[in-house]
Amino acid sequence: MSITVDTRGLSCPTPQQMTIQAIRTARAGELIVVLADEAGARDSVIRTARALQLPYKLERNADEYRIYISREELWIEKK
Amino acid sequence: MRRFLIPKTLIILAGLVMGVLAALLVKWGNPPNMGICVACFIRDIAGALGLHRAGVVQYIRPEILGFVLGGFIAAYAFGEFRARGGSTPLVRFLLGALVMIGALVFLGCPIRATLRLAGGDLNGITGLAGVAIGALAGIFFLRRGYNLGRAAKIPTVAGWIVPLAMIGLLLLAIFQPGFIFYSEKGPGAMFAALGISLGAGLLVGFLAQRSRMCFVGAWRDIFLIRDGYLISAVVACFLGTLVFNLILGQFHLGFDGQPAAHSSHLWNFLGMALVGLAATLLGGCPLRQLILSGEGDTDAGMTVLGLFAGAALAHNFGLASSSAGPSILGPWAVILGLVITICLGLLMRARLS
Repeated sequence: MSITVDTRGLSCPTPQQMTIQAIRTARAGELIVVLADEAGARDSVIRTARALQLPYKLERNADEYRIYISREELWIEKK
Repeated sequence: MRRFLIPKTLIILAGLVMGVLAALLVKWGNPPNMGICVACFIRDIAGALGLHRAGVVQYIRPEILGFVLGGFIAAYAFGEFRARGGSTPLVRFLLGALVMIGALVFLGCPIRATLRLAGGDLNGITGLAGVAIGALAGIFFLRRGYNLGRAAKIPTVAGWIVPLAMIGLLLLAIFQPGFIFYSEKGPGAMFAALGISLGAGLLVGFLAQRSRMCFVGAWRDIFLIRDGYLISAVVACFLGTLVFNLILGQFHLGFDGQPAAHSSHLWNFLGMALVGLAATLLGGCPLRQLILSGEGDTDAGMTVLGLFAGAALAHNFGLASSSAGPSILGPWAVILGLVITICLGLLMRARLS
């Protein structure tokens, strides 16, 4: 299962907020695919994945970025 | 602990360079504790163009032109220039104007709040607290689904309009035609040499584009994702200015008698809370809006126009504060601004399907 988050055309801080929302609703083990078309949005999504210590992978096709975030247990949940 | 080890070299460098340059620009002629201030400098340009007639704050500040053009050069050099627009421009214009009105009640943008504190002006604490609380309030609206809708890709030429306008302003600054206003006294008559100001602006603009430096996003990220990437620029900028202010004898600790500042704590706080809230809803501080408009974001360009309009209104209607304190109408404008911003925060929830 995977969740797609389309942030194309959206400007900061909405892509970041949508990514957080997706991470919150995803179940453990699910894959989140974030589409972005702007470098600033790409960076804010990556910052979010890093801050929550989730593994991510960045792909670039022509004018578009895809950030794959693996929804694992969050560091704030490990207690 | 891994999340604290994100490579931060670039953004720390960007903040440090800006902080050191801000202290040096004061040494080289800019007004005290105002080496760099995006709100004050846009206000000065608005005055130079005659959009307001406050005689002491009229000068075409080359730093602003440098920020936009530095961002433009960096965006082109790294393949990140993308002309885009159409994400509720009118709301952005309005929020931009409100950011400026709040900033002129405090007397400074979030960058100058940091610089004022680094110069010993303790009113900077109240201002920064306002920015932080404003950003926190902004997150409340983001969580409820606030957004300004999608922008579309547009022809490249549209993205060139703001950078070209800045080149136009540069020509006006160089040739000084008779219709441009220049202050004879006051802060508007204090400035570093044109080449130095422009160079500093270009360097900071370039680094800010590469690092995504933002003095409002910094507070948002702390609250929203507990991430310290953006705030490290604020800290680096503060320390850079502080050290150079101490070396240059520009550090004077206290609340009272600070340059271009007043000590009305309530209105310093609420003015900057309006800035923090409206800028969070806009997705970035005034500096970030300038950089984005250099990257081809015409919606950020509309925000910049809003900043100019806000500056003109603030001085024409007597909303801006002075060293003596807030004006009679300034506090009312801040309250009205907060009400408008909260309404927009609650109601601007475009469907994103």
